Amino acid sequence: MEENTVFEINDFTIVTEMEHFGAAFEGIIQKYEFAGRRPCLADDIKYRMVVTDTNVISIGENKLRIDLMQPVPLNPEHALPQTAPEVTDDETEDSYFAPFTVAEEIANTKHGFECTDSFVLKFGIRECIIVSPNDPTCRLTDENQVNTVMGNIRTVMHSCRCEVPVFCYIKDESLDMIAGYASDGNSSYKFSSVVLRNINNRHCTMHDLLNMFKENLGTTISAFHEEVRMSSRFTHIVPLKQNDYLRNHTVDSFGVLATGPSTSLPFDTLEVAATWRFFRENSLTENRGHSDFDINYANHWSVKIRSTKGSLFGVFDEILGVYKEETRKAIRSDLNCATIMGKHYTQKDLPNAFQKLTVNSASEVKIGKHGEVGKPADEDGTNGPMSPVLMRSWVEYIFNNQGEHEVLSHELNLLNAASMSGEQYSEEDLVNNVKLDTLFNYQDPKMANSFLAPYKCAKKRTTTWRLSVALANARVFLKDQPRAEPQLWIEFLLALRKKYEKMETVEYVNNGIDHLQCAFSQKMQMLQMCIDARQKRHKMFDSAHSASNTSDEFFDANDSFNADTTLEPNNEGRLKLAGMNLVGNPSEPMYIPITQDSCPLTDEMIDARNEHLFSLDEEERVNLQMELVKSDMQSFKAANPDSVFADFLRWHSPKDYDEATDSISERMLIPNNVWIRSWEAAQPIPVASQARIFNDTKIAEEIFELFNAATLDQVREWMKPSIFAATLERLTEIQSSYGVSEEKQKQNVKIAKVLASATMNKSASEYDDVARYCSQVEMIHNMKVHLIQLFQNAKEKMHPPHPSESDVQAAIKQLVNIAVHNLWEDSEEEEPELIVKPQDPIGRALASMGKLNELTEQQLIKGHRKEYIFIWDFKRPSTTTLPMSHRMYADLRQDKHSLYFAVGNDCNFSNASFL
Amino acid sequence: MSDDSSSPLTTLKILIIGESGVGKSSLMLRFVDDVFDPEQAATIGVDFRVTSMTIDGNRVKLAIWDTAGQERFRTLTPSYYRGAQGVICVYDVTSRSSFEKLNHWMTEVDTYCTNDNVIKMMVANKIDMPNRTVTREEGLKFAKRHRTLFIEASAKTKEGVQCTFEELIEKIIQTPDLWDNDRPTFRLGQPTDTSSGNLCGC
Repeated sequence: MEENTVFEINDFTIVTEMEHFGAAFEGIIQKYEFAGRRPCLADDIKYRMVVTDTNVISIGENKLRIDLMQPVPLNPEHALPQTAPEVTDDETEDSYFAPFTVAEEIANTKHGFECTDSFVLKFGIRECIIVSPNDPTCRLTDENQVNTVMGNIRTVMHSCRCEVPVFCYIKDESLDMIAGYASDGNSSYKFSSVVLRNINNRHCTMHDLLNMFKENLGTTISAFHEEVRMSSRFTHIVPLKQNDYLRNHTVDSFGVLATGPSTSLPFDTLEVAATWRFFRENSLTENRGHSDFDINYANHWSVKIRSTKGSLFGVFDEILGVYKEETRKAIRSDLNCATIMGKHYTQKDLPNAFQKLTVNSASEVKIGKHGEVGKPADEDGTNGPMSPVLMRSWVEYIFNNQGEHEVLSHELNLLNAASMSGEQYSEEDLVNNVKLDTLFNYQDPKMANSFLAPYKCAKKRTTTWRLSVALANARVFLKDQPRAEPQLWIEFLLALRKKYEKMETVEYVNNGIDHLQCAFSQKMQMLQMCIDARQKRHKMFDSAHSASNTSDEFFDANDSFNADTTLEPNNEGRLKLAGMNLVGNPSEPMYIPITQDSCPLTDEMIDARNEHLFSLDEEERVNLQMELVKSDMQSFKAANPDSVFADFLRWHSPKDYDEATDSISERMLIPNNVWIRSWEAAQPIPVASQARIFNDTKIAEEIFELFNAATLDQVREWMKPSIFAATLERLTEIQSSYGVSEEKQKQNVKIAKVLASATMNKSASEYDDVARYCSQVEMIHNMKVHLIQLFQNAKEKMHPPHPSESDVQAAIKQLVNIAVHNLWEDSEEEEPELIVKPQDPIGRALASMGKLNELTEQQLIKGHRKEYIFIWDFKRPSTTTLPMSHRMYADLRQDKHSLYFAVGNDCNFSNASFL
Repeated sequence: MSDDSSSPLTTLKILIIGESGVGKSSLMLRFVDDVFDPEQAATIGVDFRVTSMTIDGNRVKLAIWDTAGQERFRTLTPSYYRGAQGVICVYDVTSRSSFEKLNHWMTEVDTYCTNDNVIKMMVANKIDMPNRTVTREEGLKFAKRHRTLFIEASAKTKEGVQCTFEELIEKIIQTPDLWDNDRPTFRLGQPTDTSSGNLCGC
């Protein structure tokens, strides 16, 4: 029977969900050991509020997140005291009471606008527990629900003697509607917030807010009360008056890659948050008709320079943007350039490839050389949208940037005038513009001709390099005419064709195709080599022609010639004497024949050729490669009619003929080997009459056809390596205008290596990395340039003393840091600040920049954002109680007005304190 | 060569250069087909063999390019060098002139190789012959001066042939920049790396 007297409760169904929640919450408070007094924090140490722990408790289906927010010293050396100051000594018990920390914190006037933590600003406290919905579906929908939860929490707080304030969000956290509670058992604080879409105008000045604050505390205004202590912060956003930057085009600026802002200057507004700290109720006045808060006499400013346009892109972003998938295309760039031009381009009936071949064939060489000289320049070509004269003179500049370019210069003046027309510019605007132009178009005369890293792209000072820069500039300079880029390409092709026909230089070539340059550059070099080959061929035909007329005298002249001397043109295709006599006819000297050059190959041609060679069997492969040997055999036989195979070997492969023993090497004597077979089959044909190995006409026409058929995308792709290199190199150049740190230079070199690898491996992701870097660094550069110019102007307008150069530089650096932070950095990090005193030289320079002296009284009253903190010591609930500090923070913005109250009560009317 | 079942790590292009008649083709054929023909016909242009070998457990495919030594074939040189990871430069220990021309060949390698850190190897061939005119020391000294690998070999007796290719391939494998194009050789740091405040700290 005794067993029956003990009964176990194993049925918990009668425990409500709220009780479950309460128990869990109590568990959390106990876990943190929050019973009793909390430490008072030192004023001289800077703290930051950080979420130190997070728990999730459910009430039924809903889950609530419980965050613990605690102050962490910014300087880690100032460690937080872990426990409350314990009153252990009996002697001190009477004289020292550990205070209610929350009350102390709220009374602390230093918890003002210097703090960036929202809870310190709103309620003045630095440690709290925050209850918020764990996910958007289970939020506390209204105040009643919050009251229920808070009621429960209050009970727990009292039973645990927890003095840390607890806050609970209503609905979404972003709405900022909060209720909170803190108590030490005797006195209590209630926290609440009021968020209004639109507060009545009547309550928008300090005077009115102050009355509201007092009335909210349930008192009538009396002269006998303590004065209210206040701080306020007014944020004014003023436009930076400046006209848009207009590029002034010169021949010089056309030759280098454009830099600078894409559409408009980076910044257009100045934001000044002016703070007045700790003043007493009647020392400053603000009502609907008058404001004492003259921004120029605030305690300090926090300054930002902003762009309201949301984008601060520079032209590099535009230049490299065409290589990014997501970038919008202004025109269909997947079309052939001629098609894009549409009505602006009338093509002449060009002869087809076959006709072109015959035009340039050997029989018509004379025509090619002496004919078609004075062709009118504008017989065919584009007629817009840009002035064809401009485009043609630009193309001329691309081919040769040396010397005078009067036409281009004249055309650019017209272009400048056109862009200025329609708007009135004051002299000041024009001067400003020139200053900006000088800054943005900075050119370093000491800029090296080499690259930061070995990119596989066109070399500087080649036509290809200038072409890629020009096409990019066409995109930037003539932005309102998206067809300018294809137009320039087409005019370039027309000029290229003309130059080819006239056998003029089109590209710099040094000893064969440079395989370290990009594919397009190699094509241009190939074209130049075709021109050179044609020129050489023409010379040879000319001399062959003259040789046949004077053949009688030829051998007479020869006798006096040195063996090494190159011979006069002759029908046999003899270049010079070999310095030995033939084996086949010992009385005859051996002549070295004029030989054909092998076909130069671009990377693409090499790859195609190698692939082809690999696909062949051994015999076919050998036959294919015999081309040059066969030609050599023909030329040799023509030059030396009496020669035998051994003679050929003595010239062509001396290792295979032993002069001492007069014998051919064994390997050349292998019966029926390809050398012997070819020798026997070879006819004596001098080079002039042989089939061409380097068929320059065919190759040139193929290149022209490729260029003519190219889509705009293809053209851009060809320019890609060079234009990326030009961008990165230009970036380094413009940075040098104000001196660059070593670290920065290293970073540039590092990125240059990424680009070198990108150009080598055609790696899209590496190109993207480079593009991102270039556009970011250029944006920063633009910001700097703009700020430099703004400060320069401000200095000119302000009265001395002027800010020192180092002060200006420091301010610029910090302003750029702020802008960079807001552009790219995650909000985790604290925003950097530029704090200045309004009457310091820098402050006055900024005031002059934003014309802050000219703000009217009404502008001051209707500031962009006004914030006030009121702290008032007042006896509540009755005059017999101890005075307590109450606090209100008002945050008035254009579309949202929030009031945050921390209201004390020196009596705890909560039943929870008993329960 | 061995374990053909596993997929190759990479394909390497090996180029054999040197004066005419020093035994470039013989070296290649000895290595690939293990044959030797004293009457090996003179190469026209370029000849190639594809084979594979296993080095340190990695199977690599080899494309061996055997070039003609004659002056007149050299106009096509750039096309041979394109993309080569290893170059074997052969001379004949019985031919002083083939050794003396090495300088010229080294200049050519430096001019035309697109890979900066291409692995170079000097091979002294025909060491089986009695009438040697270039000593081992001379060869070594030259190789040291040009920072190339060096080996003496005979395509006829097989001596040093396998070793030549093994050492070269091993060295290439140890230089991943040469063959591993897909591997990002360089990465930008995290966004904070490039866009942090110190980006503009000049």
